[in-house]
Amino acid sequence: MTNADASTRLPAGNLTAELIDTRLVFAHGMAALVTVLIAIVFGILVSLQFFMPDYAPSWLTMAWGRMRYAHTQGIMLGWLGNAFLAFMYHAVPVLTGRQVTSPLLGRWLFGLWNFIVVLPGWLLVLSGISQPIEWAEFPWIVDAFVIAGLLLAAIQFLPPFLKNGLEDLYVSSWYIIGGLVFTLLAYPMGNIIPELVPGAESAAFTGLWIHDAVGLFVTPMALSILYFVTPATTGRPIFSHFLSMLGFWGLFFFYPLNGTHHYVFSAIPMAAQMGAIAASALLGVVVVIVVTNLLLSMRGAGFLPKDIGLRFVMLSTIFYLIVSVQGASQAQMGLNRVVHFTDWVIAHSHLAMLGFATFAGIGGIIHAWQRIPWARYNERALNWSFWLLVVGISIMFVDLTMAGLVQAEAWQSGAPWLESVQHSRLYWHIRTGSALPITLGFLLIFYGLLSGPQGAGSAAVQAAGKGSSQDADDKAATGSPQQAHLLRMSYRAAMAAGIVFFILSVGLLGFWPGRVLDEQIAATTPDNIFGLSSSEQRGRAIYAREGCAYCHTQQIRYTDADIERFGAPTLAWEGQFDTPHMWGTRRVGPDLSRAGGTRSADWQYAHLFAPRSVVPWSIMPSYAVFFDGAADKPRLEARDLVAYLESLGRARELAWPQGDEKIRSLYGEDKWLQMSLDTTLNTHPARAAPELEVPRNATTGVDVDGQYYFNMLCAGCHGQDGSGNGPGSDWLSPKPRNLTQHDYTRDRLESVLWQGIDNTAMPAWRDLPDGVRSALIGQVMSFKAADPEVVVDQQQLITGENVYRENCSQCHGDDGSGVGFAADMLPVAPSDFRHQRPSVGESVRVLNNGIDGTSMAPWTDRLSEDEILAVTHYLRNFYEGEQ
Amino acid sequence: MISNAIVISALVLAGGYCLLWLLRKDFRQQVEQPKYRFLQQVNQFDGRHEESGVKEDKVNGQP
Repeated sequence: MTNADASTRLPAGNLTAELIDTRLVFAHGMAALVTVLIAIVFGILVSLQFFMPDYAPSWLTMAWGRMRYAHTQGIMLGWLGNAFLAFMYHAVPVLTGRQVTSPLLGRWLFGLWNFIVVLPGWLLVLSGISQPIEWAEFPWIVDAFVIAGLLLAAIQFLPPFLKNGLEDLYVSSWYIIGGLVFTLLAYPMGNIIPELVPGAESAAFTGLWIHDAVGLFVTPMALSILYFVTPATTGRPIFSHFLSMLGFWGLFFFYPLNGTHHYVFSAIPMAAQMGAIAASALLGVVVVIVVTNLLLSMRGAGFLPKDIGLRFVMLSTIFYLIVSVQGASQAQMGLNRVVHFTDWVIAHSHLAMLGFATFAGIGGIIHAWQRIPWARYNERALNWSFWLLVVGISIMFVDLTMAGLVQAEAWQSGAPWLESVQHSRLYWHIRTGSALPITLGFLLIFYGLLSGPQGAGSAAVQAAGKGSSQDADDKAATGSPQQAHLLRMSYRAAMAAGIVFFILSVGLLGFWPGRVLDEQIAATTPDNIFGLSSSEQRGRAIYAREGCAYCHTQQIRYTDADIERFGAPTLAWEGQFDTPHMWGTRRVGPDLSRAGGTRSADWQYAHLFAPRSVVPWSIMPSYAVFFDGAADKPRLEARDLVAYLESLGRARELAWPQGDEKIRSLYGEDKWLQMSLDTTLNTHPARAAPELEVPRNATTGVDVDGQYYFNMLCAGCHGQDGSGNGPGSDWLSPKPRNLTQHDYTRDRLESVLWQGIDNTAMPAWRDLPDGVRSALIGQVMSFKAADPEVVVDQQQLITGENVYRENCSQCHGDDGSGVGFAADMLPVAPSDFRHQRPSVGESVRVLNNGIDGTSMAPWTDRLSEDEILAVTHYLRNFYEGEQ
Repeated sequence: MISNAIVISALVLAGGYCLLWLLRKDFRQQVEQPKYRFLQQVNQFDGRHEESGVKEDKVNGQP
């Protein structure tokens, strides 16, 4: 087509408006607004649980994970999908001068997208049928219809473009074509392959999809709107079409290559990680080019354009710059090491989807709406909606970024995990508060597009005014067939390169790491490792269904902070039973890769039934629905889930040390793998390990508030007063120790905190900073009330000694050290009376009642009251006190 | 290795495109054409749309 043809492409004899099916613009616009309001409600309900975890009724449909799935899929497919479709029904005829393929197809596409994808997708995830893959949570049956929808969209919108020459395509056309084509390629890759391959391989594809969903679907569609609305509203051409095309190809080259930056410092081959990091940096450069070009194209429109559509578009452009620079920076190892998994990431994703893409989507809808002759239009309401959304999203972004930095600092400092949760509470309140202006903003858009006089949009367009188009008319007539040929060829080369880069991304960052990992897994998997039992597999399905992986990662990264807190970094072979992977991308709670054996089953049940009963500051939702009314009455779901939790890290632990030695011999040169092989790190720092040598803690903890940390970490079981009657104590067996009735030596408390107590709910606290452990020791020692003065006669001690030697020494040892000849056979180690001295009353109580959950039985049927009292006095003499 | 391949291939492609733009004036003119044509089309659309205004929307049969 020559340029002369192009300039008269619009049919002269007909009304141009006839090319646009305004009813489909209207229908998708309304569907977009309805779905975004529903998705926001899901988001608000999810956010409320961060500081009101018990507000939700105890039915699983309202479970945190399910609503989280519904929130993100609703935003991407419901809101943005419909908004982009609405815009394309307006833009494609204007860009091409042709109608879309078929109005009937449009009705089918509308029905499919909303009533076979979005609505059933929501119902399915809320009823527990989902897939635990980030941005791909709708189950595979819905995925099939999404792909069908994308195909229909391609059939609907692409033919009008293909009838024009490449050299005639305006940049918005390129973005629409690119978005439709690449999403059609990327969606099956990201939604289906992770379901078929395990662990790290699965994560590699998920990483690609997380970024492709934003980079190949959301961003192209949003940028097509920015490049369309800006000149169409100002009446001036964009600053540089050359730069816009440079940006277009740059984005399509680099976006697909970014994905693995979600798994930096992971078991995925480092070469793939470095590739993603390099692509992320280059992407940042390209975005600066794109945004510069867009902002220069807006010159003259004023700081606050009168046209509301353009105003949204301008803010979208600015948000795009911020979010892209933030993303490119976060991918770099120095920053990633610190802020990854924090709310910084959530701030980033909200600014991308709710800032950049949403503002573009609203700008596109308003622009199209203004040109629907019969549509109502209320400029005042839309103006208010703009300010409400700007305020709401700005608050949310700044607030979550600050929360992320606070969490990063807490995690790096080695402070107890709950401290980061506690410090985040204020920010989580503000985040939920920011939903108020956002929701009102969307409601006002709804109102603004359904109220006001018909045709008021046209009046608004005229009132906003436009620059002269004479310049465009003059310049559009130039060009020659030779020039067109050159440009056409360069675009073809770029198209080929774009496809090659996408294939490269899937190959280099998906299949190649998968192959490397396959080889590594085959070579390094220890012999006879345990898979999951049936119960554990069912538990895993519950874990996936309820979105546990969205708060608890299962990937210990190759960073010092992770290793100190969670144990040895995750090796590739450890995930070979995880299809799809459960690596996660956010940590609200701690990593669970090696959670097995860190807590007793009764503690796990109590934690699932009433999380705050054993962890007072926890924000985990309750899963009481898995129980018959009490933590000690778990139903099958609870048993399965706990069985799965107990299996986490088991394979690596059982394989050690042979498994690690195998890797050392094969990959001795790999400095990253070496980080995972330090033998002292192969157990989780909370795992009871009586064999470990206890470092003597010189820190006094004078500046650390022991009661504060005791309330945070210990009070759930031991009670705030140390009496052993914390809210969770009734469900634990053995019950937590009554700390007010025991003297402890510092050595004993250091040992307990470092080693934990095997087969009880008392974990080790090796991950705590020395100062905190020391403060806790001081706090525990302060609980003991002074013993009343008791006069003990010699005969009583002799009787006590006889009773002790005859009945107690087999377990507690002749010297009271707790290492009698039978001690090794007991699940819970007998007390070491040299380092802990129960009060007389406590000893009598124990001898009368025994200790549930241990081998200590009641002695009332074998010992008289006098003998019990005598042995009570006798064993107190073992106590060595402070040496 | 992968990162080098990404950086080098991207630089070659972008560099080639920029070089073409620098050296060929006709390419520069041609590559900018779509933005003018797009504006023409938009103006044409808006102009006709304004002419038809709220009076009639033939395709959709709306008032």
